[in-house]
Amino acid sequence: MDSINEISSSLDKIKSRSELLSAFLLKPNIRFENQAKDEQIILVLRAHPITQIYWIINGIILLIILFLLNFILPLFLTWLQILFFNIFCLVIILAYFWLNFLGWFFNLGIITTKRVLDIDLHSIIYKEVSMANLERIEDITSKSSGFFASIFDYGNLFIQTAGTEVNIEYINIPHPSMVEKIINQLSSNV
Amino acid sequence: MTGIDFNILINLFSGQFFFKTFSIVFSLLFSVYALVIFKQTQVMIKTIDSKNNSLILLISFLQIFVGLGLFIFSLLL
Repeated sequence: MDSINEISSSLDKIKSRSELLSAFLLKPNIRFENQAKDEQIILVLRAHPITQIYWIINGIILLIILFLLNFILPLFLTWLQILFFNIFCLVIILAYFWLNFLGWFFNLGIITTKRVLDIDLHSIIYKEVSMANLERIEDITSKSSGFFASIFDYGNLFIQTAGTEVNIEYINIPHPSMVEKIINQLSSNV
Repeated sequence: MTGIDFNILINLFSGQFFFKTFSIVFSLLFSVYALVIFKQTQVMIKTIDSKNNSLILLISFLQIFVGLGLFIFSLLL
């Protein structure tokens, strides 16, 4: 438990304020399926928000296209059809935003006092949960490459485990070297 | 083919007809998509239990009603 307090105090500076939109949650008020009673969540990770900017830009471009289409639509459609077309396109664009948000929100990396978990949700219909016990961790590699990754301090973390347990990958997480340090600290105390 | 039949055929395949057909089909498809999203959100919420889950579920649920609203609107076109 000392190691947890030590980690907590060292991470106070970057402790997140909002649980909904944060990518780096220290000791959050979250529980996951199959969590043991004596198991405590230390860290919950999501992809850095800056890596999600592409779908926000795509959505804004689609909104601009929809706005511009309204100048030529009266040539072909009635006002009721234009109204339907606008509402329908707006709903589709908002659904696109929502789908991508859910994809980001439910792609989690969880580090507990006993194990590390990787919860993935791809294309909304594919769910994958992989986990590895801390004592089975053999090697942790953090990689941060690129202009934006250096500026915003995000990168990938690869956790190799012994035996048949799956390897865990955290992609585009914030502060990868710090997370590596935390896992090392936790696994050395197990 | 008589002239009257030909006019009926033109009206049938006019832009109005196509617009309404596509509106109905795509509204229905969106409703099905919204339903899938809602069910999957339920599954994910069971996996991760946090205090924001009700908000996430509510937005996913509203999508189904929006889809059904679009479907009704498309019938009125």
